[in-house]
Formats: sequence, structure tokens, C-alpha cells
Amino acid sequence: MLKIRNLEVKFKTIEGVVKANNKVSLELKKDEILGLIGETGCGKTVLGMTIMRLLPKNSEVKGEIIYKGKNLLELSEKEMREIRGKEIAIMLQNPSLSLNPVLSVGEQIAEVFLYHDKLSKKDAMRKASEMLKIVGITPKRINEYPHQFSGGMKQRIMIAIALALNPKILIADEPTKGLDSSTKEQIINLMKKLTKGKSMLLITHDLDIAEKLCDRIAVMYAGEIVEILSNFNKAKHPYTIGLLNSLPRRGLKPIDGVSPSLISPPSGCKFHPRCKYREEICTIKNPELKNGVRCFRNDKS
Amino acid sequence: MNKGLFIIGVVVFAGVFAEFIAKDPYRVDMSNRLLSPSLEHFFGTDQLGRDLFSRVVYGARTSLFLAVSITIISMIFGSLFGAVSGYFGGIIDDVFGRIIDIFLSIPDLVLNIALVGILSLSYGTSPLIIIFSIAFTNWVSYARIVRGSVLSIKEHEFVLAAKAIGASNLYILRKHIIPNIIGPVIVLATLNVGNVIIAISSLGFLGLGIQPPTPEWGEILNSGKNYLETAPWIMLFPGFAIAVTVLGFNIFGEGLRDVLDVKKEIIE
Repeated sequence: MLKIRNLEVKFKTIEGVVKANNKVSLELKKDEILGLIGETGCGKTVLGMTIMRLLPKNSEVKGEIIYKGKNLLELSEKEMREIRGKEIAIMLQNPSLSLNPVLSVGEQIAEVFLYHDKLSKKDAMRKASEMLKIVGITPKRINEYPHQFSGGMKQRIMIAIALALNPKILIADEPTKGLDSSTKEQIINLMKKLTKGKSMLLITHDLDIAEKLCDRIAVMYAGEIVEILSNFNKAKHPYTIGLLNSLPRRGLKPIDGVSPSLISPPSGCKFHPRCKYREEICTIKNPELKNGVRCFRNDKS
Repeated sequence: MNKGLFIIGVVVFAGVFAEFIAKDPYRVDMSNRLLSPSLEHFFGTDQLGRDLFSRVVYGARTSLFLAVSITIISMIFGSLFGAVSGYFGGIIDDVFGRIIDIFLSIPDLVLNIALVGILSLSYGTSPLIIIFSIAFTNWVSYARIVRGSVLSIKEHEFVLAAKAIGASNLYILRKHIIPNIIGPVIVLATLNVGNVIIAISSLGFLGLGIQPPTPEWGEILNSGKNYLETAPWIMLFPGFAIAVTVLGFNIFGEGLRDVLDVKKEIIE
């Protein structure tokens, strides 16, 4: 469905050039839920925004994002607008900030139909109320404003907006952020139900959700994909293992050190300063992603 | 706020129903010139024996019509200008921002006088020229405030969310940004009506505004200045009308500002 090849994203800032995504290659297959996990600031959201071409002006993007045989990075802004929402939809983080406080939720869902399908206001509102019903909110509340809804409800509205035009691909950026565990469960089940037959890129740092929901999981560290796996039991990269060990049920052992600055990342393997298996070669050369793992230890065995 | 609304209500009522409240403001009666206020002539008569009360009441119609037109025109133009400047940023903002700065650096009244002077030489004095000349300097405050508000609103995530569903810049500006800045603009417009009334009267007083015999507060002031010692009421009543009307709009505007919760710094 979506092929990302050698994607490099840089931001020019006053402090220096931030290398937010480095040589990222990833494939989102048809009907697949692909998880993207990693610590805050490792470039997960940037990857999602790059696919949607919603990065700020100070960014520089290289590489290819192939969708339906076309490189999204080469499309004009006008062609891209036809893809956004219709073909590929994104659910941004923070539903409370992503909804406009002065428009009713009905208007904000209807907006998608008004804009893309050129429906009349009345028809768009009718479709909006259908969408509300689908995501489990009573259509009676269609004229209420975002502040009248709880966090979980707002997330449901975000789902309704994202899925309104029946996109082929959904990018969900931390859809369970800030929700309590029972609401989390509901939102995840809802998304699973509604995205049947679609491909989804699920960006999260919740390992449990990633494991429960995803067919494959890509692990990102310092702007690079370090491992792609289908099951956490098969984890090989020291970083993935470290992440798993920091879960409460695996002993709550955090990884030593902090994630590196993306302006001046370490030489060689980006993870080597925190890795307990590091050897000399790790500090000099960055290993390639081979058989789904970016680590020299894996190459040897 | 209610007091302000009451004053505005009285002035608007006087302007709209002038025919029913007042007598003919144009009727010259040389045998009754410069009469002091009485039951027959509430505000006295002027140097041509015209009933001053009628002239002040009809003056409300002139002033309000001009002030509201000027305010609406400058609000629409200034807001669009500021919104485009703030939203698109970059070179557009640099150019538009400098234009705003240039306008802010020239005293409004001086530019108004110059414009009216030049335009009336070619086209003769007409209300249109006054509307254009005052709006020409008045839009700047709207542009400045809208630009600032748009700069902060456009960084909100719902703008990004709108882009994510494929919306164009124009659509985002219209549907998402403008509804969010309408509060300060309405407050500014209300406070602005008062200033515009003063600008109109200033031009009238200088003899550049509405031309006699059309009743207009500034024009009445001008005609009364030669009789300040013998018939002070000619200047007193229109002056009072200007002061009270401006006060009314200011009280109402400040009340609106509190109700709509607009920060004081934004407007001033």
C-alpha cells in the first residue's frame, strides 16, 4: 500500500540541523496494522507528518514515499490535498487541541463531506450524525461543542473525522494518549473494528497496545528504524529488549542513559552509548537493518 | 455596558426617526436668528434662524450613517489585509507589515485632511469622499489586531488538523481562523465608531467635511464658532451630542470587551 524508501527528514533550527528521520525504509501492507513504537522525540510523529506532507517550512525531506505508484513527496500541494483525508487520513495527537473550539462537533465532521464530496450542508450534517453513531456517540449531541465532551469522546470524534471519507490508510498518532485504561481499551477496540480492510500506521509508545493490535511492529530509535518484528517474544535488538524490560510486568528496569540529541547523534550505532553489549565496531560503524534488526550482534549469530 | 447601549439607542432612535422628532432643519427664518433655548426651540436657533434642535437631531443621522459605513468598510478591508498578512507570513507578511507601519507613522487627521482636500478638488465634496478618506487611514488598526491574532491562532493544532483533512489555505482562513478572531474585531469596531465620529466632526469643523446646509455636528460647530460669545448654545449642543455619543460607544465597547473576554492589551 505504502512504501517508504530511504526517507530522510531534517529540520533547520537555530541550534543546528535536527536529523529527525534517518534512512527510514518501511512498508505498510494492505489490511495491515503496523505499529511504530519508540521513546518520545525519536521521530515517530515526524514520520507520520511527513507521509501527510504536513511538516513546517523549515524541514527538508529526501527519499521516497510511494503510494499507488506515485511519490507523495513529488506531488503538488493541490494533488496532495486530494489525498489528505480521502486516501490517507491522520488522527493527530491531543484531540482537545485538534478540534476547533468555536465550531460544533457536527460541523467539524460535516466539514469533511462539505469540502471533499461537495455535499449540501444538510446532507453533510446528516452524514456527520451517522458518523457519530458509528463511533458510539448519540447523534443528539451533534450541535454540542468540543469542550462539552470528555477526552475519550473527543478521541471518538477524531476517529469519526478521520474515517469519514473511508480512507485506505489511517495514520493514528498516539490515539490512546492521556486516556484511562478502560477508555483506552474501548478506543482500541473501536479502531480495530472500524479499520477492518484498511491499512493503519499506529504510532504509540504503549507497548501493550502495540502488541495487542499490530500485525507488525517497527521500533524507532533516534530517527532510525532499529527493528521490525511481528512479536515481542522474538525481540533481538538490545533497545527493544530494554524497552520490554522497562515494562512493569517485566521488572520495571529502565534503560540506562537518555535518548541522544538528534542534532549531534552519536557516531556508529546510535544506541551504543546506552548498550551493554557494545563493542568497538559499534562506536565506528552504524549497522544496516538486516533481517529486521539493526545490530552487529545479530549479524554474527 | 447597558448605559452605553442606552445612549447609542437614543442616538440611533433620533437619527432614524428624525422626521417625527424634529422640525425642518433647513428652514431659514431670519427674523428669529440667534434665539436662546426656549420651549419652542429647545436648543435655540442659529445665525440663520434655523431650529438648532432639529439640526442636531438630523446631524445624528449624518454622523451615524457615515461612522457606521466607515467602520464597516475599514473593518472588512483591514481584517482581510491583516488575516492574509498573518496567515501566509514570509515575504507577504514583510511587505504587508511595512505597509501597516507606514500608515501608523502618519497622523490620521493630517492624511484625512490632505486626502479630502485633493479629492474634493477633482470630484467636489461628497459623503463618498469623506467615507473613503477616513476609511483610508482607519483600516490599519484592524489589520494590526487581526494580524496579531491570526499569528497566534494559526499555530493551534486544529489548523493542522484541518490541513490534514485536505483543506486549502483559503478554506482554513475562512472557516477556522476568522471565527476565532471575530471577538476582538467586534470590540474594536464598537470602540472605533466613537473615534470615527470624532474624525468626521473634525473634518466638518475644519470646513472640509459635510458641506452646509446639510446638518452635521462638526459643521454646526464650525458655523457657531463666530457666535461663541453672543450665542454659545450653537456650539454647546452639537459638542455635547458628539461627546455623549462617543462616550456611549466607548462604554458599550468596553462592556463588550469584558463580556467577550478580549484581553485589554490586544485592543490598545
